[in-house]
Amino acid sequence: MAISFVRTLLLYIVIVAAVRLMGKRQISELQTSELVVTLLISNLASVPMQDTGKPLVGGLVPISVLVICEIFASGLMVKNGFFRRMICGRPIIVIYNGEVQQREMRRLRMTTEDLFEQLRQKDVFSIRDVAYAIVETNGKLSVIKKPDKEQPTAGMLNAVQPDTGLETVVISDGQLSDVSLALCGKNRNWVENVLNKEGLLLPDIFLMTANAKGDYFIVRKEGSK
Amino acid sequence: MKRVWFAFALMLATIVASVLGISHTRRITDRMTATVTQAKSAQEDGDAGKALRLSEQAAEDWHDAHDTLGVYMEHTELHQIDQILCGLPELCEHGSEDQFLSDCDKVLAQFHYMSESEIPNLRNIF
Repeated sequence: MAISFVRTLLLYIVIVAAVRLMGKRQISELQTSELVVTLLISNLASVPMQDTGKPLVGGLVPISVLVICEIFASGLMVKNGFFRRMICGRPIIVIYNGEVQQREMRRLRMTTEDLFEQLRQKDVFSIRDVAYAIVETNGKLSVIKKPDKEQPTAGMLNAVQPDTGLETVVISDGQLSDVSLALCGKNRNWVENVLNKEGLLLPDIFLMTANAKGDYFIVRKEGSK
Repeated sequence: MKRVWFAFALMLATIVASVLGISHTRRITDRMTATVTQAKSAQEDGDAGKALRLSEQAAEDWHDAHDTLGVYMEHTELHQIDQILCGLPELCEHGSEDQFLSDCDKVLAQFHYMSESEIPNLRNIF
C-alpha cells in the first residue's frame, strides 16, 4: 500500500514534468505522434503504480525514451517538411471552391455526417456557404466561407475601434503581478494611484484587469469594506 | 532549443544507466556463478566444509547485491534466487547432496538467464 502510494506520487511528478517538457497543447489539438506518446505514457505509468513487483525504473526508462523521441521528432518536424508530412500527414481539402471533394473524403474515411457535424461546430449550417473546407493534420476542420456569406468585419463597416492593447489581470486575489503590469505597459505607481482614487487597498481586491489605454475593471473581495 | 538539449542530456543519462545496468548485472552474475560453481564442485569432490563456506558466501554476496539489482530488475525474479541461495547452506549441512547439486544447477541457470535477459540482442528485443 505505502509503496503504491509513494510510487504514484513519484510517477505523478514524472508525468507532469514529462508533459510539461513536451510542450503545451490541448488534448484535442494533439498531433498523431503526440497522441501516441500521451497514450503510451499513461499506460506505462500505470504498470509500476499497481504492480510493486516491477521496478519503478521499468516505467521511468520507457517514459524518458518516449519524451526524448517526442522532443527530437517535434524538433525535426520544425526543420524538415518531409519528416513532418511523414509523421503528421498534410492538410486535406474536402471542399474546394464550393465543391465537395468526394475522393479526398473517401481517403479520409470521412462521412457526410462527419463533415456536416464539423461544419455545424464551426457555425456553418449550409454547405452552400462554404468555399473551402480543410481537414488539418490534427483532425480539425478549417472553414473559409464564400465571400458573400462572410460576416462583415469592423474594417468593412468602417467602425474600427481604437486598439486598447492586451487586457491583463494585474491583481488576482490581492496579489499584484508585475509581469501582467509590464504586458499592459503600466507600473506599480499607476496601480497605487488607481487604488487611492477608488479608496481601496490591495488586499481588498479579488480581481483587477487593465489595458494599455488605462481602462481598468475591479472586483472587490466578498466581505471587504 | 533548451528542450532539445535537455532531451540530449536525458538520452545520455538513459543510455549510461542502461549500460551500467547491463555491466552491473553481468559483474554480479559472473561473480555469483563462479562462487556457486565452486561450491558445487567442492560438494561433488566431497569437500562439504568448503561447499558450506562457499554457499554461505554466495548467500551473503547475493544479499549485498540484491538492493542494487532490485532497482531495475523484476522483484519476483530476484526473490526466486533469494529463496534458493538462502537454502543452499542448510542443504549443504543437513540436506541431501543431490538436492544441493540440483539447487546449484537451478540457481546457475537463473543467473545465466538473468545475465542474458539484460543484453539488448535480437532475441530479447523481439
